[in-house]
Amino acid sequence: MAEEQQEPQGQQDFFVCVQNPKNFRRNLLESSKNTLFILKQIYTVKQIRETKHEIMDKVVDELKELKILAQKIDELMPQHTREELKKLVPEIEFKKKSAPRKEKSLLKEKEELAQQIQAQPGSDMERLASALSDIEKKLQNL
Amino acid sequence: MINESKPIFVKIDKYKEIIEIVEVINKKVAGVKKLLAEFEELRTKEEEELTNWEKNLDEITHKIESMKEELSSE
Repeated sequence: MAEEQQEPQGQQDFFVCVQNPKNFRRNLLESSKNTLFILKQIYTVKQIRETKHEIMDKVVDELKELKILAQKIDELMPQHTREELKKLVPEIEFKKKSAPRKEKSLLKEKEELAQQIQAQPGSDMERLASALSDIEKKLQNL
Repeated sequence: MINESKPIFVKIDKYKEIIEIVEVINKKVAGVKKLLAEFEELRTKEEEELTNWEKNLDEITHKIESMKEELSSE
């Protein structure tokens, strides 16, 4: 009975001749070594990415502070209306305003702008983009 | 909008405050530059690690291939 059970197992045994066992073993060990190297590298890359993330957070904080400081300087600079400036420096000249646009086109623009604002979710990226375009407009008006 | 740039006059106390803020800004900008340099260094290191990673994978493939050949040769 026991022999009958062992026989099918014995039939399944298959022997392969390994011509160069030393080389085979070396390849196997080196493959394991390389796998471990990769695991180590994965760990290192993970650490690098975490550090990069920390640096990015720091940069974002610093830039936020820089923005506040720039705003503070803007607040500290003298602010005058055109009338006040005219009184202070009578020889000052102002740029003439461009010709008034038609009411219809202005209304259209307003509607488009409202639609754009509604369509935009309030993500940080979008708020930054709108702040940037505001500054660009201010720069163009200088 | 003023047609041409004319000098403006700032009260001394505000001037001092502005100068102080500008100094703080300069220090912060220098700090950010340092952080960015550090970031760049890390980026290079990460790229190196990824290149080595690929190299090691190639080596493993090569070795497994030769082991497979060894096993299948008669």
